[in-house]
Amino acid sequence: MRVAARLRGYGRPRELVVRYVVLTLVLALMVGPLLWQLLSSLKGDGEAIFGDAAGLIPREPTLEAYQTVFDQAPMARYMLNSLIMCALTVTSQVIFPTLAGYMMSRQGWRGRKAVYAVLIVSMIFPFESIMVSLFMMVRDAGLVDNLIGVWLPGAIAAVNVLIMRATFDAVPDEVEDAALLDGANEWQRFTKIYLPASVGAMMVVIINSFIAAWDDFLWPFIVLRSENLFTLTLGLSRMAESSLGYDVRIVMAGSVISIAPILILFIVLQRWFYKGVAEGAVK
Amino acid sequence: MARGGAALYRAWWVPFLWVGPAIVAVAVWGIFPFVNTVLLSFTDAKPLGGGGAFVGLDNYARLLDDPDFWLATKNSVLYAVFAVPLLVLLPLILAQLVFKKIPGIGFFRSAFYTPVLASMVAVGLVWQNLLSDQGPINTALGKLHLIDDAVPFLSDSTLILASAIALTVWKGLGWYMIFYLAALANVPRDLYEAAELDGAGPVRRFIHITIPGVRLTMMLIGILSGIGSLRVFTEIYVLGGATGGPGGQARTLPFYIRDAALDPIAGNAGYGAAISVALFAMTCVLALLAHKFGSKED
Amino acid sequence: MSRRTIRVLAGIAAAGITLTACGVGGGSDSDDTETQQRAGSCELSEEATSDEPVTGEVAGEITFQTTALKQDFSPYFETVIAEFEEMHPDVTVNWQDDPGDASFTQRLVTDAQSCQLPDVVNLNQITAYALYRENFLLDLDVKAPEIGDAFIPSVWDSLVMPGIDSHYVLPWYWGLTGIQTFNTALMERAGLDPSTPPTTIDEQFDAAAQIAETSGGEFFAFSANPMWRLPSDWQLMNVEITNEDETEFTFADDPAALHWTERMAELYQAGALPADTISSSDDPTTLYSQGRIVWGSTNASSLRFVQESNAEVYAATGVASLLSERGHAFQDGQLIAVPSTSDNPAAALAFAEYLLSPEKQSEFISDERISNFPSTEESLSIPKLTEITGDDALAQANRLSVELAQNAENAFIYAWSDAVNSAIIGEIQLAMQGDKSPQEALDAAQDKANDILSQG
Repeated sequence: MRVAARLRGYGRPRELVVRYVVLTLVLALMVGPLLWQLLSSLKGDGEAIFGDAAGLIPREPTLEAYQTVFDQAPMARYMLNSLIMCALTVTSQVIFPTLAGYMMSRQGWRGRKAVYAVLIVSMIFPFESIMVSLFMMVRDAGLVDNLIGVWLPGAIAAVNVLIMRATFDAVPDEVEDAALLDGANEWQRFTKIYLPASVGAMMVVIINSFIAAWDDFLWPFIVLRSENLFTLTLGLSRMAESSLGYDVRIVMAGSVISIAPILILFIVLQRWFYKGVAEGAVK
Repeated sequence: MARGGAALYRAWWVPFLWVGPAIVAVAVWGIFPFVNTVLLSFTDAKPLGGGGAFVGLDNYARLLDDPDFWLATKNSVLYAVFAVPLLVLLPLILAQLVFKKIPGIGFFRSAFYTPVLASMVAVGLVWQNLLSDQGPINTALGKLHLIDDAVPFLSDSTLILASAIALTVWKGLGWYMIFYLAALANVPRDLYEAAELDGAGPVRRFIHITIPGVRLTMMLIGILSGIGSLRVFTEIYVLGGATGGPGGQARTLPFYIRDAALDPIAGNAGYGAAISVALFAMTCVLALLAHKFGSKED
Repeated sequence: MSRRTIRVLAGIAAAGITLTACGVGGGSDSDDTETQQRAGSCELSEEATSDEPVTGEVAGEITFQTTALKQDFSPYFETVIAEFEEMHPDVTVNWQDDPGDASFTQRLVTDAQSCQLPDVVNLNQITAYALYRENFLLDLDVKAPEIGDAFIPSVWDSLVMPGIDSHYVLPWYWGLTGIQTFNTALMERAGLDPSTPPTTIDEQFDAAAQIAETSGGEFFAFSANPMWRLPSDWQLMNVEITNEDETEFTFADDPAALHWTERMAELYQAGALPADTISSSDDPTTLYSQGRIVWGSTNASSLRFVQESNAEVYAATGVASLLSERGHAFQDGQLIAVPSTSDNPAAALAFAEYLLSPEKQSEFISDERISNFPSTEESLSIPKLTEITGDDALAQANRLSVELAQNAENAFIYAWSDAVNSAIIGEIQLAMQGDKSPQEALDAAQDKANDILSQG
């Protein structure tokens, strides 16, 4: 079997060509809008962005729009705040949902179904409808204009518990049975068998909670007041609301800046991310 | 199958040590504000006016006669009806496409994931510009002589909804693709090889091996994307403007909650809460449906 | 009902009962006898509710919130605060700036609900009215009887809340509606004479119809979204929008409103207006600076943005008044209020008075980037307003505005809330797209608006 698979290599040439053609078409759809945004942000003052006269490639690429963005706002401060938010969120989103997800995948304990119901129910409310209640709670805790106040309500998401549970569910019983025979206690089984098996899912949780914290807008907007605590999305929106916002190029440059760091981070991490996804499977 | 074995003994409180922090956080920051919302739905509270008076089921009675509520409900349901199947199937095909390790596949995987990384506000602005009457899409279609007049992506309520669904799907594809990549890794390879030896083509292999192999994941994605569809707000706001399309005809339920509840003068927090509860009920129904579909082969 | 459904419902019920039992709920029923001591769910201090002027010590920490001014005017406000703190060493002023975007009202409402309003806050008329109605603002005639003395009398007199004669807000810088800005180059391309711009809304619609015939779809008359034209178009056309005391909308019975709606629908269907902007929130200034529409914002200060983003369009911009049948420009201003929830009302009032003093306003308005008017009479005579040189669009707009300012009236419709606005705009949009006849749309809009009023 293995030899046969290796001999086939990447597959039949014709199939391979078709595969690349399809991949490239999908690529155009997925990346096209973002590429258009990037190219528009590089256009000079006089060049059309809309209409028949607008070309895709800037005739005289310029970083003017980016210069304006960086001149107008303390970008480094905003990015630092965003990174602090991401660090807090990622930490809490990995540790607690993993623990809870493990136990949710175990059966035979009282209260499991009730806990499951609470998790599901909590996922369902539109943020807009509970926002005011949430804000009152954060205020009572004295956390207005504080990054902790931004972090707490989103510190642990039920969806991540469910993701981790699904991953642990996929670990075959036989593996655990073998560990049981070896006399491993539950914590040992969790750290030795289940944690390594869930690296892929954890990477997914890490990346996604990072993105959620990085991109979040409405909630930090309500909690934060001081400009030196603003996250990048808030800072950029303040810029877009100012007179700079009338220029599409500058708005596009702003959103490129908000996407770029996270994209770079993802490119750096993706090796582990996909490796984790692949290795998360038990052979 | 008794996972974790009935043979295992745990003290009754041990599981709560594991799930405790998560469940407390979820209860405090998720359930508690919701309960507040339910209580609010029986009052006529104004956004600024404190508690408001108890009005029983008045707000719910008003819901039944409110054409705007039913329109928003219809839009939200349509959103889910179109977005969910697309978000369950397309990412699976995408995952299948990038699952096999061929040269450069890492690039494609990451590129397909890129839209997930951007904030909805940022990509929403890009799409709004792309879809405008003089935007690149209409310009290109015009140059190809496929259309005479610009396609009214941003001024026809149905097309606003369709564009918003396309935006949701486009931004969600990469995220659910990852779910499937993880799930595909769990489908035994030798099943495919055996099927291929039996002469099964790619489509048959997909239907008979891949889909059953990732069924649990499909169910999860069905629930997640369904809940996501019912919560759509930003897409409509960015593409259809602050009124939610001409005449508010493209408003979804969260959009309507905002309109009904948050106006500082005319807003009715109690009524908004009642709509929130209705939205919650719909979400429950959807989750149950997904669960039923997911487990029917058990 | 499946077992799971029952379980989920049981879980919710259990959680609800537990939390309710813990005393957590939607709050107490409002009690009429108590409303004077409370604002929303906030307890008010004796100092805020008594019938005596505020006489306490000017001391303590206060928060001052401006709207969308930090970006451009930080040095000015830092100086004002430093000067004030020097005069009153026991006071600390914390300045914050709200971006003033679409969620401004939402944030202010959230602040109010949680008794966290800034002590001195910059707001607009609609938000001020909402806060006033829930007792969140200090009655200035009682609490600071002489605070209004320096303001332009007509402005100060017109700033009372509907139905009563008391002042709850202080006027700050203001602008006016009643001018038009237009692209003369596009007008010529459409065969219109830019030296004789329309003088009524009806004439502007005539010109728009001509643009539809001659532009070949390359440019348009103005943004299609009626939100940029209402209610000011109707006010200019003397439409009877509400009854006297603003308790009922009456516009659907006014033939002028019907005529306006019919023409907007014709223009939209004839291609005079860019179709994709019918519900877009984009400011017309964006389209105008791209050279896509003939008429830009009716707000003279937007010309500054045009100047920054497209010099060519700016150079071609013409300015004229457009007062239609009304014959007067409208005054619409930024306000300053001191919330009743303030812990240091004496310091807050003193700071508000200092910020709005003739001296400080003259300084503020003298800034070349501001195309607004000051609210004190004395500041109206600063050189910037009386000696305008130059002939570019901004100079023209400023000269014209100063002239119109003499007769400007405050015509703010308090009943035209955000919810009313969406309801009316929405129905007009349907009429423009041909989904409803203009009269049907107006009737529906009026019903909805009155519905909203009766619930308020």
